[in-house]
Amino acid sequence: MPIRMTSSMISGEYKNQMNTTLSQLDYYTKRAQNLRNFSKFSENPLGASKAMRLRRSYTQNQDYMNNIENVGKTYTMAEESAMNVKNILDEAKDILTTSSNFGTRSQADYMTFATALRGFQQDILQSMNAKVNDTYVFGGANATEIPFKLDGGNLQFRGVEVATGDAGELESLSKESIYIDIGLGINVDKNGNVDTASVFNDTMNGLEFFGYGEDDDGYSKNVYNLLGQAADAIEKYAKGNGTAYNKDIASKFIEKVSNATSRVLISTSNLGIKQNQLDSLGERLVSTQEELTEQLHNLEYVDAEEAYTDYTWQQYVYNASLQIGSKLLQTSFLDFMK
Amino acid sequence: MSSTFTGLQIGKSGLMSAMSNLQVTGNNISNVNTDGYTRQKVDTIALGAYNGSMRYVTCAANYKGLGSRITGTSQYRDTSLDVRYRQEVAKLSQQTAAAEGLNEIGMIFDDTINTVMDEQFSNFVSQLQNFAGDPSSEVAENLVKTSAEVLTQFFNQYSDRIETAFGDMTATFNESIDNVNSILERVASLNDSIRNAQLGQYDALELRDERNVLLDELSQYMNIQVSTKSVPVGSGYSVETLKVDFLDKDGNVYNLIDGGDYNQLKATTNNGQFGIVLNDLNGTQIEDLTDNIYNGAFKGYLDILNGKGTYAGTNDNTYKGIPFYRESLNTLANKFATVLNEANGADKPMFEAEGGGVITAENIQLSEKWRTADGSYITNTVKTGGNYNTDNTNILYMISQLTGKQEFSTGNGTPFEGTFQDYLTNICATLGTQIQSNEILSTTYANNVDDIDYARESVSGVNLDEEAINMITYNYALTAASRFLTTVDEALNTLISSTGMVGR
Repeated sequence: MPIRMTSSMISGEYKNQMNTTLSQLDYYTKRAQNLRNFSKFSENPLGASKAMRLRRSYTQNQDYMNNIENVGKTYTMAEESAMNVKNILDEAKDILTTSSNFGTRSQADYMTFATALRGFQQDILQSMNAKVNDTYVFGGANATEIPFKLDGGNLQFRGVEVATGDAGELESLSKESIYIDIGLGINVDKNGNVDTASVFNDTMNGLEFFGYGEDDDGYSKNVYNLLGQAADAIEKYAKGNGTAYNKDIASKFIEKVSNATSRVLISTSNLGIKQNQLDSLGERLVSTQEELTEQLHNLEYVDAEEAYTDYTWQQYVYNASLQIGSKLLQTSFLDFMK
Repeated sequence: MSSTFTGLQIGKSGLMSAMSNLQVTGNNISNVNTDGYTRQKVDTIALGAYNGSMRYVTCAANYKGLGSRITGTSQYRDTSLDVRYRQEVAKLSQQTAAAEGLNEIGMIFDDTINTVMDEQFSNFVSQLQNFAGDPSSEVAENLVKTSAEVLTQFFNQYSDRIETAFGDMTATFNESIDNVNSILERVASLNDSIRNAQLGQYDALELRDERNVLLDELSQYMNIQVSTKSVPVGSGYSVETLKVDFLDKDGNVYNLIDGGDYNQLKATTNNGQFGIVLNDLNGTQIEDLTDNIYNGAFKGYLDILNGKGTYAGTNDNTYKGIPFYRESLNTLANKFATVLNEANGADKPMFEAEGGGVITAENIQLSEKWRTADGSYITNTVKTGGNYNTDNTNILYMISQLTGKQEFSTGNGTPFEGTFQDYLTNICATLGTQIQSNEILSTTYANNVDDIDYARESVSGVNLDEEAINMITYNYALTAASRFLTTVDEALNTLISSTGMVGR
């Protein structure tokens, strides 16, 4: 049996329908505006949780990329500075070689050599204190404090005499390390200690690169001090102290400078190896980043065409509903009564 | 044998019926849009000549009907639909009441578009990463500090908003109790009025409509059972009295209204738990209804205000209401502070509770020591201490703690395992799912309510076409009855004035 209808049933039903249509229109309008698949957690809890996780991975990945990029900048600067030092040492070696040809040079020439070597010292000091964005490249664990300073003509590394300072202290300073997280997954043992193999040692220590202390022959292992020693000897020689500098001493200096050069080179090439490792890791991170962006986009956003088509269709439905409304119950039997 | 003027009486009864019907039609039309109005009709019966006491009956074939008689006016109403409607409304209202609270909490935690707290967690990790690369930098450490402070402020802010939501819901709950009390009083007073009208042989249909609207409203709050019974008032008359009970799940009834008498509800709080008790008018407690209420808006409010979810102890409400989310956020804040305080080493806490005590989302702040620290405060060194080593692994340890899995107590023995942010996501997901299922249930119940209301309207609503046709019908009936009277009049005129006048 057909249900008995009344006008208020029709208008009530119409109001309900209109409400649904309007709220759908609102939904599709928003969707067409922000192109989002969902705007509230409750619309898609699973998707929204996943999006949160993806975004988090994205930020984490970005952190690793930033870390690698920062290391890269420091490494480039370190490499440049170390090569600079190496070049200076090469030139110093040339001077020392020239100076070892006794007899062909005048006393004044030796004075020039000494001055040149002291000039090199200044250049080296500048390179040893190289900076990237206000951080000292060779500062070890303390990159904000200037690492190499002269105190009364003596070279100090963060306040400790490089030539004559306490050997133990110098060694522990040279072994300082700063580890950064490059996304290898930090391992922590049960005592709460970080497994240093799971993180990346980012430290470049000036002492390690440019040497510290003295060797058994009494020669300074530090490049700056070594050139100073050579300059001192040559200067004394130039001032008439015949025993201060001779062929033997010159060749000793040449040998020591060569040693220092190779130490710089070894440290630099180690840097290169690390840089390669970081580069390949960085590339992987970039592709992960792209993938995450795409996943996030697919999850969170709708196709613009789809969103707009849906919106247009809903707008049409809404208009149609409105039109029906204006025709609804316009007349009743009363209109036909005479 | 009928009397001479019977015809006039029959005509009069026809006129009266037609007039009454026209009046009721007019009444129906006037109330076509009146809320709660029930379509009315005139009850008429055909009047027979036989009255059971005719002792001198001569010939039964001579007895004819004596017209019609109006017995009263009644309503088109199907009370079984009222019962179903009220049951369904109680279910719907439970969901809508809960939705109020859930949506408010939802707005706090919903990080879908603006990832507030989650992003700040990420930011804190990023700042630590940055600091790890440059552990001697005061600027980098300050950035960590600022980020940590912002995070604590978010905790405070979220907590504040949860408390605001809680306050809002408490107010709504109290208002709803007041509203129900007012309904109880009004229904009882209507019962009285209807009874008095009935004593005067008047059915008071409009008052019944008003009462039904109130009962519909009452059914939003709790499951009610409405019953009527006839009470004799003497001289063979009886009146109908209405009784409203609260019906619990086990079928126990607690009387709310009995005729003109009524009880009152009272909101209670006991150890932070909200409840509802039934009191008589003197304020003496009849029953604590808290645990008996199982649907309706009251159930929704009680769930939202008391629901501790997984943190519920014995006899606690296990719904995931505001207390559950408050507790979840506190767990997060507390764990966060505990882990980092431990990581930074003894006597160097990074966070503390404002005013002391257990760290919660409400009171978490940077520790006094850290806030006022001059220079470096975050421990860069290896956690175990001992040999002072200038490496920065402790910062990495902190990062590993923030990005690695932790165990979060959920109160019920099975802890949640995941990162801090996983836990936060889990809170959001739990809430999101809850809101989603609430919406689904609400839609279902709302459809049911609409369907039943539709059916109810189908019975009780006014249809203008019908009324217009009735208008014509009763108009014709009126005309016909008048015409009949004229005919009888003419017949009597002939009989009285012209009979025996032949040949005069």
